[in-house]
Amino acid sequence: MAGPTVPQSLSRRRPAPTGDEEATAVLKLGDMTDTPALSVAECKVLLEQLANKGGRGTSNSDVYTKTREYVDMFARFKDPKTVTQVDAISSGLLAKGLTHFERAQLATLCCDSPDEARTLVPSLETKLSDEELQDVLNDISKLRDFS
Amino acid sequence: MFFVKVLEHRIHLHPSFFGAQASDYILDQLYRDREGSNTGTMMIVAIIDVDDISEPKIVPGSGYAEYDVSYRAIVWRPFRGEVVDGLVSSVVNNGFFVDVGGLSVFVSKAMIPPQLKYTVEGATPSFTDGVDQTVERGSQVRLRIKGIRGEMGQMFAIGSIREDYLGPLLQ
Repeated sequence: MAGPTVPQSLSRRRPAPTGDEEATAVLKLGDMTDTPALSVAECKVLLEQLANKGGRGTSNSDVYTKTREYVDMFARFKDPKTVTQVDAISSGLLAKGLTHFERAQLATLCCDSPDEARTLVPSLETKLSDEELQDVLNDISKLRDFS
Repeated sequence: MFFVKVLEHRIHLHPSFFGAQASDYILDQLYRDREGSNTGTMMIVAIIDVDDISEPKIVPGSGYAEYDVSYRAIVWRPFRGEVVDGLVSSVVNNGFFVDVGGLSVFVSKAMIPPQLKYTVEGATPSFTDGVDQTVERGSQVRLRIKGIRGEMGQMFAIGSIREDYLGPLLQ
């Protein structure tokens, strides 16, 4: 009720609430900003390498099994060499101002047109010109595995 | 979205494990605790490697040794507004559930374009427009995550396919 209120400076600062991260037209990634992101195909290659390395590579947890099935199904590039090539193409974009998140999204979603890419990844809106975007998308689609 | 993140974990080791193989026990403990865990905001899929194991500190009063382990892991974290692909796991009359890795996303009827109507054919419920777009169990769908709620150990999300370039994927 009416008790003594603690002045701001004497009370411990609460950690900032982590509820407002979003990936819409503005990227607010919280503590994942500047963290390297992986596209689905890259993650598949990495998980396979970790499993093959032996030792403690695989786990029996639900999360791990479901994730492995997911990446196996949705990876657009099956061959590790192709994945490296796609990585090389899309890494050129990092120099042009794209964030890790946007680069990984482009490599995962494999859009056909700049319009589709801008609709699905709204934060790309002003970062690349149409021709640059179309070039990158063409390069990536050439490497797609349709088997 | 998958990320490669450097994380830290505090491990307590019982004195009976102090010995030449203490570091092996620590790694076992780390893998057991963190691999496959769901923190409510993100899922730790796999640990890649361990960067550093700190010097142990004995906890006063209990005798356990405390280690701070820094490791790199593949984590999966969904963001509101992110577009993801997923597999439809079940269809109900007011929407359908999509499995995106370990997360189950619910797409409600309000977030489905009006052309897709709920129909039950035989025993298979589906959302279809009768022409070429069908969403049923086992279909692949591209959706945008609209909202996420996290509690310790579980995440819930809702999504939408009511936009351009979203919806069932041609297989």
